[in-house]
This record gives sequence, structure tokens and C-alpha cells, in this order.
Amino acid sequence: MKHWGWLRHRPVWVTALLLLGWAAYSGWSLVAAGHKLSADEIGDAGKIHIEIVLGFEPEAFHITRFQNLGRLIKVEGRSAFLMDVPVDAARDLARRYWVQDIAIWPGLQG
Amino acid sequence: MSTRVATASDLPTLLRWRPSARALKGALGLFLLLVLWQISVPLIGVSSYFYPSPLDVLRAFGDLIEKGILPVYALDSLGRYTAGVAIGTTVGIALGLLIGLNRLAAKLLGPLINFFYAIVEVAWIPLFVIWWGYGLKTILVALTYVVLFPVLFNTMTGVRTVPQVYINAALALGASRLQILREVILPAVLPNILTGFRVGAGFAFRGLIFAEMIAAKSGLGYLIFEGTANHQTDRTVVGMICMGLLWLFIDNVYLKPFERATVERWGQVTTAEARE
Repeated sequence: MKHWGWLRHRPVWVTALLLLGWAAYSGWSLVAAGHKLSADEIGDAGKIHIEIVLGFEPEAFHITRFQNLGRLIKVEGRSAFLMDVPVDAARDLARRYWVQDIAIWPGLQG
Repeated sequence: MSTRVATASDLPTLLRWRPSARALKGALGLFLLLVLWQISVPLIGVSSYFYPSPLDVLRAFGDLIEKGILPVYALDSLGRYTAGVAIGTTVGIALGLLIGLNRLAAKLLGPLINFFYAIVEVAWIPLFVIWWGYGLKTILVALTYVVLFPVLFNTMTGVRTVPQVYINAALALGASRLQILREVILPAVLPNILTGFRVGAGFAFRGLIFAEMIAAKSGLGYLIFEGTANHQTDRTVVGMICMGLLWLFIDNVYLKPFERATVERWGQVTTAEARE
């Protein structure tokens, strides 16, 4: 029992709490991402065209991040349309809590 | 059969927790400040662009959280701060030991260190931006520069004030130079290093905000700058409040306990409570 004495120190238990919180959020975001962008929708594609739906109109912060993922084609209301987004990047974006949904978009030719 | 009346000490520790009088007074002071701020808004009678109310700031805070902006900016600031303090402390300790132990190094580097100490980090940032552009490298160099000097000077002072009698005793016992450094000088200098670290960590936080305002595209400093540029003064105030809260968190959770466990325990610093 004496080996657990160090847990009473503030830096230790606060850091432990933060790590637990981070782990819980990561687990939740992983599950939530599966609902936003499912494996069936992606298929075997290496790069996909997507419509990102937010709960608000995107700001410069979001536009910059979208531009780093693929080719940002247009923004309409609360949706941003991107082409040639790597699948892993799209999955990572789906984990963000501020992303409401991600739908597969046929692209400009569609 | 004997009976015993249950007392408060029978409760689990968590249920016995009560906020301290000091914490309650602090919370009351904060509450009064918020009330005065809210009352002053209609009295001053200017638009929220010039003087946002607490409610405006609270709405902006919620907006920034909802849009995922504030968590990213806060984490970016925290990551840069941690890395900058780590690098600056390491370089400061190394240079402080070198200058403290070696007379030639002291003669060569001493005047240069004093010269650069006078040039504040903010004056360097435009040049750093030209050399390394906007981004992490510039900010880390700026933070290293800020943390370096307090750590270096404290380390150097610590080395020079190691009592010669300790070194003589070690020499008399046949210790080598490396053994003297490891077994005598470093333990004696540790409280000075930790004091320098504590001071440097405080300076680094202010330096971080300056650096982010000028050379970053994210972070709390950038949020303050961006809020003003976009006529969103409420976001500027959110950035300022988050800065204060983040510093309170770092200081109370990590720096003060660290100082209590090391420097105060070794008797280098006494607190008001310890003197009573």
C-alpha cells in the first residue's frame, strides 16, 4: 500500500485524471467517427471526395484544416466539399467532435 | 453492549473534504469582480466591440468550444510551452555549468551573455521569422531564449557559491574532477537550478503569448491577436482569461508542488506559512 503514496501528490493525480479523460474522449471519438463515416461508405478507395457537415458555418480555422486535407472545392452554408482526401485523413477528421457528419460526395463530375 | 456515537472522522476522506477559507475568499472575490464588470457595461454605455460584458465573453467561450477552436489553440500553446521550457532549461543548465566551472568560458561568454540578456525576446522575433518563417521553430527558439537566462544565471551563481571546503574535502579523499562534479557540485547547485527553472517557466509563459501573437497561426496568443483583427473583442478577452487560467493551472498543479518538494524542503526558500 505504501507504494501508492505517490498518487496523493497533486501533479501525479491531476496528470492521471487528465490522461484518463483523454483516453475516454479518444474512445468516444473513435466510436462516434464510425457513425459519421462508415467503412461501407469508404470501400476500397485510397482517396475520396467528401461533404463535411458542421453544426455552424465554417470559419478560417476550419477552412485552413480542410485545405490541408485535400482540395477544398466549395463551402455552402454549414457544409464544405473536398476532393481527393486520403481515407485516413477523412477518418481522423470524423473523430473531431465539432464535425457533425461526413458524407461521400460524387465530386465535380457527379 | 457499548455504543459509540459516529463522528465526522468516521466519514471517508472524500466526504470530509471542505473548501478552505482562502479558496472561498478567492471565489467570492472573483464573483464580486464579475458582478462589478457586468454592472459597469450599461454604465459605460459603449458597444460590446469596445467593452464586452461577462455574458458576451461567456457566449464567445461557448462558441469557441463548440467550434473546436479553443481546445486546439490551448493544446498548441501548452505543447509549445512545455517544449520551449524543456529546451531552454537544458541549454541554460549546460551553459551555466560551463561558465561557472571554467574561467576561460566565463571570460569568453560572460560579456556576450550579459549583452544578449539586455535584448528582449520580442525584439528577436521579427528576425526569427525571417530566418525560420512563421511556426513552431520560431516560437521554440524564442521560448528557449526567454528561459535560458534565468536558468543560466542561477546555475552559474550556484556553481560559484559551492563552499570551497566541500571541494577541498572531496579532493583530500582522492575524488576525481568528474566525481567532484557529480557528487559535490551538482547536488549543491540543484536548488539554484530549480529556482532558475521556476523563474524561467514564468517568463516563458509571457514570452509564449508574445511569440504566438507575432509568429503563429494558432494558440492563445494568436486567438488574442485574431480576435482584435476580426473585431471580435469578446474572443480576445476569452484568450486573455484562458491564458490566466492556464498559468494558474501550471503554477498550482506543477510548479508550486515541485518547488515545495525540492527547494523549500532544502531550506533555500521559506514561505509565509513556514515562518509562522
